[in-house]
This record gives sequence, structure tokens and C-alpha cells, in this order.
Amino acid sequence: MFGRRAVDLVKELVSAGPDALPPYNDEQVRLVIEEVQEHAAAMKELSRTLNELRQQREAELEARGEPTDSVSFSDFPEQSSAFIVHHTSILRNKRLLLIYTKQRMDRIKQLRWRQRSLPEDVQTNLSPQEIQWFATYSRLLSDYMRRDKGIGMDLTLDPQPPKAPDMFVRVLQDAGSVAFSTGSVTLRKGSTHFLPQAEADHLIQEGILAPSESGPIEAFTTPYERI
Amino acid sequence: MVDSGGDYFSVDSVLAEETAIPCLFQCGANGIGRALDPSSGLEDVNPGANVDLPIWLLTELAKRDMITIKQPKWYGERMRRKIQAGAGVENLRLRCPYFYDVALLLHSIERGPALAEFAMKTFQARYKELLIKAHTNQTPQEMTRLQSLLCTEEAVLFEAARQSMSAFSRWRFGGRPLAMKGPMKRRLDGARVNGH
Repeated sequence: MFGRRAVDLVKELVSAGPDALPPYNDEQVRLVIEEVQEHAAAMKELSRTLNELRQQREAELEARGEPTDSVSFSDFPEQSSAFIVHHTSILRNKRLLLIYTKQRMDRIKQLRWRQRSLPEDVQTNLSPQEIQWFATYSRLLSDYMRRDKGIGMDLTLDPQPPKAPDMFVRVLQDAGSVAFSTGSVTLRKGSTHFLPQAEADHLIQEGILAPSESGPIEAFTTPYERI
Repeated sequence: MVDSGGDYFSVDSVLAEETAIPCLFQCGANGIGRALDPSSGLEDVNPGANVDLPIWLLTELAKRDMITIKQPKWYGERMRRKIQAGAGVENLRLRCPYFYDVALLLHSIERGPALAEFAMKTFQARYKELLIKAHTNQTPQEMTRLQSLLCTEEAVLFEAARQSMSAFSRWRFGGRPLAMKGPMKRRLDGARVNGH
């Protein structure tokens, strides 16, 4: 069936999972492009036949003295239906190849936002063009976020913009004195502090702090008691 | 080419268009018999040949009346009776993973009211049950059984309902999902359980 190879490409990507990047299948891509070229050659051949048939028919009509402008390709359904099939197949293959490329591009872009760099094992799965694209995209984004040329803020920290730069946190474990940009804070178990979110985030990940929605009052009740 | 609208890059829409529909060739087609109808072994497709064509291919041919589309059996009379008897237990995923998308695409070609009505009735009958099941707690076995019955479009709705439910309970019981991390740890330490 026409277009089977191209749809297999897309299916391969889908079955790998929404974020996975399987190896770039350049062999299959090459085969799809070859198939398109075959279709194009078949169309050329068919259009030649169709034109010949039309001229023939026109000559016949002229010999009989009838008007010739009513002859159209739809008078030769065997050829024109095949012509349509080839043409539609080319468009279909084009669309599938574009989807394959775009899906992969979106996933590579996501890597830049989530992990900042290309992990070694992912890099071996990319085509040279994809690696080049990543490098260019990464440079553009870094330039935009740089202090001297751009906005001077790391946008990849929060995928969703934070509501406020600071947050209330409650201390779950004694961690001694920790230096923040707002000054040094002694983290004692059970106490509540108002700290910059960007700096508190990694302590939350470690389980030393917990975000506290309601501020200092919560220091006396755990979230479970409020239910 | 099927009019893809804004879905040109949508993976689901290309996979739905891959669904094969039985068709009857009204005219012949030269040189493509081997690709479209390998079982016949002929170089050309003859008029009157029965061939399964994917939706992306048949649209252009159907527009020019070069083929007629026959009803796929998952929209057929038997299926209609089954849906009437009990819509919720029918396994749509097995019959046609893109049950509704395919119905919509065929409807846009044929413009008959029958198919649209059937698809709509099926959806109405199944949607209510789907939503109730998604919003209440089910055992893991029941969940797997339910999800294996849903076609792709329904699975998306089901997942959305589950997510809205968990978002609601997060709001109801307070705090960001991260907030659970701290107290949970303390309970494991055996210090205090549930604040008592």
C-alpha cells in the first residue's frame, strides 16, 4: 500500500512514548523519499499518456467537424484515477514526513527547557541536522536570557511563571544556618520563613523545606489536621 | 487529500485517516493494481473491483465518483443493534480505534444523516457512563477493563476527567501537590500519624 512506510515512521515515534526520542530512522526516511520520486515518475508518464489521448480524441473530433473544447481528462478515467492516486500519495507522504520531523523537533526543544543540555544517550539518537538545530536553538535561547544582551533571567527555571518571587516555607528538618540572597537564615525544625522561591526550590526537593500556603499560622497545624 | 483544517500536524488525525474503508471501483485505474489490491495480482484495477482504501486516499476519488464507499462493518446494522442493546459494553477500540473521527470524515464525504446520527447516539449513550466512571474511584482491574473498551477519542476524555478530578481534590484538600511530600516523610519516621 502507498504511504505505508511513512505512516510506520510516525507510528514508531508514537509507540516510543510522548517524550522519548528513538534513533532517527534515516533509512526509512530515504525510502519514503524514494517512494515519492517513484510516484512523480509515474505521474510524468501518466500525464504524457493523458495528453496523447486527448490530442488523439481532439483529432478524431476535428476530423468529424465537431467542437474539440469539450475534451477533458475525466474522459479517460483509467489514467486520471491513477494520476490522482499518485498525487494524493505524494501529498500524504509529505505530510507524514513533516509530522515526523516536527514531532522530533518539539521533543528536542523540550529537552532544552527541561534539562538544558543534550544527554549523551539522546545525542546518539539524533541526526546531524537535529544536533545542529539544537545547538542553534540553544544559543538563541541563551542569548535571549543573558544579562548583557537579553532579559537577564533564566526562563527555564519555571515552566509556568511563579505568582510571586517569594514564598512561605516551613522547615521540616534542622539544617543549620543557610545563606540566602536576602541574608542568612537559621533553619530550625517547625519554623516558618519567607524566602525567595528560586532559592528555596532545591531545599524543597531535598525534603528540608515544605511550601506553606497560609504562611506563619500553619506552623501550628499540619495540612492533615486542616482537612 | 482530506481537508485537514488545523490538524495538519496532528498525529491522531493522520492515524485516523489511515483507517481502511471498503470501496468499489466504478472505473478502472491503470498501473496501481499491485499496490492497492495485491490479492488480485493484476497490474491494473478493474472497474467493479472491491478494494480497501485508507481514508486519505479515497476522498479525492470519491469526490469525482470514481469509487463508491461501502459501509464499514463497525457502522453496520449488526453494530447498531449491539449499541442499542448496551452501548457501554461494546469494545470500540477493537473495532475501530478512531470510531468518531472516522465517522466524521466519512460523513464529510457522503453527507448522509444516517451515519452522523448513529455516531452521535453511540456517543451519547457511552459518554454518561464514561464520565461517572472516570469521576469515581475504581479498582485497578476495573480501570484497565474500562480503558480497554474505549476508542482513542473517548480515552482522551476519560483521561481529562481523571485529571480534573485529581485537580479538584488537590484544591479541596489544600496545598500544592508538593506539600504532601514533607508530612508524608514524617509519618514514615513514625513521629506523628495524621496529627493525632
